[in-house]
Amino acid sequence: MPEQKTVTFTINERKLTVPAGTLVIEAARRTGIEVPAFCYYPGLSLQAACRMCLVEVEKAPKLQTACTLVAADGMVVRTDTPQVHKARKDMLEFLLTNHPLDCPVCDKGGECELQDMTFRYGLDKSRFVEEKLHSPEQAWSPVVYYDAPRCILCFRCVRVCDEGMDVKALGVGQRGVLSVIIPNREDHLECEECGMCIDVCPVGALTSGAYRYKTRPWEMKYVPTVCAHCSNGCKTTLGVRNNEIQRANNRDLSGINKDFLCVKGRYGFDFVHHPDRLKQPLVRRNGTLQIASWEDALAEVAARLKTVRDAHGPDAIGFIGSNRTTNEENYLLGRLARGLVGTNNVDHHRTADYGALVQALGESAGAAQAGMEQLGAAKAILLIGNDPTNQNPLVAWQIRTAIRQNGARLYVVNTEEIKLKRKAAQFVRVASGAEALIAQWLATGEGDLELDTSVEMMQLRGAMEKERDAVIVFGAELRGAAIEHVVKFGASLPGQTRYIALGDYANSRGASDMGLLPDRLPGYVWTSDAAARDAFGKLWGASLPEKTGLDSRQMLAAAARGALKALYVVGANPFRTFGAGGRPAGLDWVVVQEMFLTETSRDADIVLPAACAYEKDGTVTNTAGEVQLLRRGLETMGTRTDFDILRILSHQLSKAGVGRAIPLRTPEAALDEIRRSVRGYGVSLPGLLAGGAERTAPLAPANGHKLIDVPAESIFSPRDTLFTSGTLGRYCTMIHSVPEAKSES
Amino acid sequence: MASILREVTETIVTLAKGFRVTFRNMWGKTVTENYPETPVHFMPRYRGIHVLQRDEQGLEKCVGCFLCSAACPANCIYIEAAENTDATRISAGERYARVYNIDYSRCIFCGYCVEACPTDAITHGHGFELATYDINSLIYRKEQLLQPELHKKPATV
Repeated sequence: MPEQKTVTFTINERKLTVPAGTLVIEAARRTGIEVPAFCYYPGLSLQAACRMCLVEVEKAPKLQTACTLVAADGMVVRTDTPQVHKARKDMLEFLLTNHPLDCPVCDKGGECELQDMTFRYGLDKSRFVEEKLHSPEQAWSPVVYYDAPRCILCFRCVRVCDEGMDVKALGVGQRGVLSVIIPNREDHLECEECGMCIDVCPVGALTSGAYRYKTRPWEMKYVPTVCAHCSNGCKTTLGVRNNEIQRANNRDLSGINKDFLCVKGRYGFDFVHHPDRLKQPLVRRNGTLQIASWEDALAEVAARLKTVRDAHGPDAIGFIGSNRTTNEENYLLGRLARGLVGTNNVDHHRTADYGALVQALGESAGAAQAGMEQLGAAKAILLIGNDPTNQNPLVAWQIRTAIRQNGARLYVVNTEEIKLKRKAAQFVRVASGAEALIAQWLATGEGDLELDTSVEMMQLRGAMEKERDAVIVFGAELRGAAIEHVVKFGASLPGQTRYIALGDYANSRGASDMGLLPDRLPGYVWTSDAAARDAFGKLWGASLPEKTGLDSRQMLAAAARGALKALYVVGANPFRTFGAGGRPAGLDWVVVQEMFLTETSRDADIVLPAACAYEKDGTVTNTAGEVQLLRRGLETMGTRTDFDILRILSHQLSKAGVGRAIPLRTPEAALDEIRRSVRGYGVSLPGLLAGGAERTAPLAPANGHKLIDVPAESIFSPRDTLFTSGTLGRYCTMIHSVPEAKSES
Repeated sequence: MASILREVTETIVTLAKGFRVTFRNMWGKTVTENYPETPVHFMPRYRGIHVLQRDEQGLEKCVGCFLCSAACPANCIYIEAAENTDATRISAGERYARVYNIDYSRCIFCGYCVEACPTDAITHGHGFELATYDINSLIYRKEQLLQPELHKKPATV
C-alpha cells in the first residue's frame, strides 16, 4: 500500500490532518463541525449553487464555499464567526424569497432540510415585501410531482439523474429568479421512474405520488428490511402506519445500496395490501376451492402426504420451493422434504448457476466472490450477458459508481445493445446464445467465433489482461462448464479477480445455498457425499436419501406420466414458469403456499395463504452472496409465514407417523442451526443484527462431480424489466401506473 | 379580670367582622349558577369540547397537517389525511383530514392543539357535557367536531 499524502490545516482552532484532496466540508463534517449545505451531496459532482456552506478562510478576501474548497497545508478555516453566521442568515433569507410557507401542507414538513436550517440558522422574519412568485404544481408522472415555488435550485435531482442514474431526464430551464427544473418531455418525465430525484430533494419540491399527503414523517414506524423484488438485496426502510406501508426509502443511507432504490424498491410495496391477497386457507371440495380453517387445511395436507407416501413411496412427492422466501424457510422446506418425507425431489426456479460458481472457485470461493461494495470500488468490470439496468438495478448503479468515482473500465459482452453500453470502454455484441462460447474462447482460446467477434474479443482480452483488479459479472447465460471457463480466464489475469453471478428474485441465491436442489444439500454438498449426508441426518434425526431427485421440469414431466403423485409448492408458480400448460393430468393433488391465486394455486387442491417478505423476520441472501436481515413491518390478518406453516406441518406429519417434527420454533433458532451447519453461513451475528450485509464464504467440494452444461431450460432468467417482478410484480398497482410500464406490457 | 374583658371584646369584634362578609354576600348578587336549570356562563377563553372551523367559503380550515396530534400530550388526536381533488374540495390547501378523531376519554383540555394549529382550524368551544354510559361514544369524529351545536345536547346512551 503506497503511503497516502496528507495535508494539515486548522479549522475552528483545531488542527486536522486529512488525506490530500479532501474537501473542507467533508473534513469538517467528519470532525463533527457542522457546515450547512443544500447543493453539496456526497458522491455527486460539485455545484456550489446554494452558498450555504460559506466559511471564513484566513488570507482569503471573501467567504469561501466549503464544498468546493480543497483542504491545503496551513489553511486556517473558521465556521463560527459573526460574518459566517450573518452570511447563513442572509442566504436563507434569499432562499426563502419565493419559497411558500406551506410547511403544514407540504409532504416534506418534518424532515425538510430547509425547515431545519431555518430553525437553526435563519431569521424569524423576512425583509422582502414583494409578493412571492407562484406557479401551480405539476404531475410529471404518477409517482413524481414537482412544485416549482418550493424548489431552491440545488440541482441535486439534475445531477443524480444524470450522474447516478445515467438517465438525464431532468434539466434546468429559464434563468435567474425564474429558473425551474424541467422534465425531458415538456410536461412529463420519460425515465426509469426510480424516484432518486425525490429522495435527494432537500425540500418538498419533488414529492412522491405514492406517499402524497397520506401521513407525516413522525407518525410512521420505521422498519429497516430488504426489498422483496430483485436479487440485489437493497436495504429499504418501510414507513408503516396503522399496519399499512406508506412509503419505502432508504434515507439513513445504511446497507449496501446507501440511498439507491429503483422503482420497484421505492413504489413496489402495494402488493401487500392488494385486495386479491389470500387471507384464508382454501381446500378443493366438489371441484371448487372453498374456505377452510387452518387446522383442517394443515391436517388434510399431512394426512394426504402420508397417504401418497405410504401408497407410492417418498419419491412420488415433489417439492418446489420459492426464490422469495427466507433462508430459514428454504432450509425448513429442504429439511421437511429430505428429513421427514425422505425424497430428493426438491427444486426451485433457478435463475443463476450459483452452485457452479462456488464449485468452480473451490477453496477461494469466499474471497473470490465480490460483494456489492467491492463492485462499486472495482477498477475494471467485465459484464457477460444480462441487462443489469433492468434486471439488477443496484448492480448497474454500482457499475456506474465505479466508473464515475474510480475511473473503472467496463467491458460488456452482450447479445443486445443494453443501456450500459453507453458507459462501456468496450462493447462486444455477440450472436444470441453465444455467451458460453465466448467463455470457452476466453479460457482456452478455442471456439468457433465469427471473424468480427473474434477480432473484438482479442482486443477485449488484451485490455483485460492489463487490469489488476477486476470483477467479472455474468448472468444466467453462463451455466455449468461455462462458469468454470470464466473462472479459468479470471485466474489467468495478472491481478485480483472476483465474480458475481446475477440471478433474479429476492432470495434466489438463498434458495440455492439452502439446498433447494435435487442433487445438493444446504451449502452445496452433494447428496452422494455420505459424510455430509450423515452430518445433516444426525442433525435432523433422519437418514437422508442418496439418489439424485428430479428437478422442477422433470417433476412436472413425471407428473404428466403419472410417476409423481403429489406436488408441494411454496411461493412459486411452476405451472406458468415451466410452461407445462396447466396442471399435469397425472397429479393426484397439489398443495401451494402462496399470497395470490396464481396459475398454480388456482389449480391446486389446498392453498395456504402465506405472509410476504415485509411481514416476516428472517434472513435473505442477495445475488452476490451477502446475507441481510428481514424485519417484520406489519401483519396481514389470516396469513401465516411460510416458516410457521412448514413448522406446524412437520408436527402434523410427525403425529401421523412421518418422520420427526422440526423443533425449531423461530426463524432465529433456524438461523442458529444454519450458521452452525451450512458451509459459508457462519456469518457474524452482531453485524447481521445491526443491519449490515454479511458476506458468506461458501466452499463446495467437487467430490468427483464434474461441472456439466446445465440446459437453459433448467436455469434461466425471467428477464424481468424495471417494471415487472414475477408474481409480486403483477400485483404492484403503483408500478403499473407509470407510462413506461404500460408501454412495455 | 382584664384578660376576660379583652377576650369578650375580641370575640365581639371578630364575630362582627365575619358576619359583615356574610351579610354583604346575603344581599349582594348571586354567583352560584343554577345548572342544569339555567345555562352556564363561561369566560371567553374557557377550554371546552373542540370545534373545527370552516372558512368564509365554507371549506374546512383543517389541512390535515398533524401538528395538533404531534403537540397533544395525551395522544388523543387521530388523523388520516388525503389529497383534495378538483372534483371534491374539502379544504383550501392541497391536503385535508379525511378522518379526524378526538378521544375525550383521554383529552386533558390543555389547549396545546389549538396553539399548534397553523390554520386556526381547531378551537375550543364551550361544550362540556361529555358524560356518557358508553366510553366508545367519547371518541368524537370530524363530523361531530364540525357541528358545535351538537355538543349542547347531552350524549345519548
